[in-house]
Amino acid sequence: MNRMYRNMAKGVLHKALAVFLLLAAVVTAAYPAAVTAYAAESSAAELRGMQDMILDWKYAKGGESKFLSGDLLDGAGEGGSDWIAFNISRIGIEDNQAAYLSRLQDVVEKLYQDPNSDGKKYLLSDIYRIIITIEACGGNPEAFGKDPEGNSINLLKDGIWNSIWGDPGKQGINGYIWALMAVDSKAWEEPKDAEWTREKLVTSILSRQLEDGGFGLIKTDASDVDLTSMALTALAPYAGSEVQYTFTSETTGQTVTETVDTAAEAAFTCISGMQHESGGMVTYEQQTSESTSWALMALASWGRDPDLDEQFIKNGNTLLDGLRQFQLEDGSIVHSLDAEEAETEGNNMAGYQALYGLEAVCRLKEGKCNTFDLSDAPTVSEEEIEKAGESLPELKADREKSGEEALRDTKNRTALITVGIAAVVVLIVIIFIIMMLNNRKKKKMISGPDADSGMSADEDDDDDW
Amino acid sequence: MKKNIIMIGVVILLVAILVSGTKFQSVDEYYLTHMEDIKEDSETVTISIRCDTVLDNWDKLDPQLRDEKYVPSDGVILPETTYVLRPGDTAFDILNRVCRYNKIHMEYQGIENNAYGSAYIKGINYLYEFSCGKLSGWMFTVNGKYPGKGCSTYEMKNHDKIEWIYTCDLGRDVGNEYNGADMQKEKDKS
Repeated sequence: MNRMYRNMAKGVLHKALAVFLLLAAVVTAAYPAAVTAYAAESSAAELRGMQDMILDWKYAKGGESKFLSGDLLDGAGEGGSDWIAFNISRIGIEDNQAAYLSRLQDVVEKLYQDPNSDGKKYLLSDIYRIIITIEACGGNPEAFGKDPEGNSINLLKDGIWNSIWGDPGKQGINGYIWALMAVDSKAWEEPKDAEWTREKLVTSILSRQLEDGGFGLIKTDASDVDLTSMALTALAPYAGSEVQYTFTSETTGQTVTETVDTAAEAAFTCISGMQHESGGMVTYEQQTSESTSWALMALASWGRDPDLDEQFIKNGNTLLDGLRQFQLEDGSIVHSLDAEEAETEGNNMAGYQALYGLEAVCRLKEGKCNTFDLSDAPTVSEEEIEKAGESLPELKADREKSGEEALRDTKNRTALITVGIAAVVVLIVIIFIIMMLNNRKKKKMISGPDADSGMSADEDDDDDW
Repeated sequence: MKKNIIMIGVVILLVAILVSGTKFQSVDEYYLTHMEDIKEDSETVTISIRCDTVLDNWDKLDPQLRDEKYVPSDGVILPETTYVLRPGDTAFDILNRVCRYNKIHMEYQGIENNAYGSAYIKGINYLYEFSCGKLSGWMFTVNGKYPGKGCSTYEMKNHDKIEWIYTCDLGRDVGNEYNGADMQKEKDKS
């Protein structure tokens, strides 16, 4: 009897052991997956490493000792330069920001000197980007340079609050988006008589939301990832706000009352549907790095971690996985992966957009304020800007020759060269003649008063020739 | 002695004749001043610049540009003209040289400012992108097709026909359903 019970107990024990082993096996199998899921989360350090690679590539191309020097510095006021200045300032790199501000001041002052000049033309979105760049570098857009009458220039007022250049959105919705980003960059005081208030800018954006929840250039087309992400980034400061905005939709003609959160939810859902299974964002049927960078910016600005946000993980791939596809060995970022001719090297724009896309995620992970929240920007004094400006060479307006000028220059040059050669030849002749005369004199003196021998000496000279 | 001087004189004369007959030019200047110098073995391209669509969108046009000198009454800024093609010329090179030759205003943006590694044409004859509404700007076709490539990355071939066309509807009013590279970057404007 005892033995039977012992056998039964053994049996149960064996079964229990078997079950336990099975459970253990299952748990062990599942555990690596859990561990992997944790390990897949990017560290800010790794993302900063990606930024460093881009900067190293950019730096190597510049060949100077600082980023903000040479052509890049001279290009102040253009997106290709401004965004680099913005990025390195946000990352915290101390460079020639004072010199950059000096160049920007020249650009701004020139804008006021002759708004309809023959010179470079600036768009409204250029002006808003310049405002943001000024702040990131440490300047003050409310008092930046002097207009022709000697008054201090207030770009926020002239560009947005009481725009002297008309409707901020007249060149497209991105005008409203960047104007809003500019005024929300710091806690700028909204003037009581402001025409373009924050509220008006917000409703201008919301009223242009398309039926698929996103934003785009053409009402009847599908939304655009980049533009939708930019709109979301501009609206980020209003996240969680209970304020209801009432407006007439430009798309449907209906009157709408909603919070920013409601609009944002639809926008995020819209672009979520445009994520490729490799993680990147798709524009015109191709994954592009710029769209991916902007989606990262939008997500991070709203406090959403791209590594963990389910709405933006496709087939196990995050937006960061998507962006990683675009970085080449030399550190540069390419525009697309599916181009007809494969890009052998990245370009400047893809690079600077990746830089601030990554910056947004890093700031989220590091607990810092948003990329476009410039309250943590340094301050550069007017004296420092002037001092830096003094040692800068003046920029010459590079104007290429016209056909007439080329012809004229050719004629002038030919005439100059002809005269030059003629002068040289004449000089040689003169020297020769002088030498000849000297020889004659010498021969006369040697041969003495005998005139005949002097004559024959000359004839000898002729024969020598 | 006389012989010497005469010889020197002859040498100077020869040099002077040679030099005055020679034109000292850089290669760039050479092509710029020989654009219509079409020889038997020259390669050529035909180019035109038009802005007809503006005539249909006059109300959207920047008031300061509502003038014959910016928008010709027939919309033709440059009629179809044939010019010498320099080997290696891109669509941008041709436009640049043609505008300088004909003294037509042209402003472009360098390759660092867009994602296509190409120059971008902002304005021709003072007609800029957005001068006629928020969907306006310059596009180009080669042999009737939109290349979908930046103008300074598109290499021209002998007998190519290039047309620079101003659109007021992001390409849709000029037969381009799919946005060309030149216009696509609009959304990246910042």
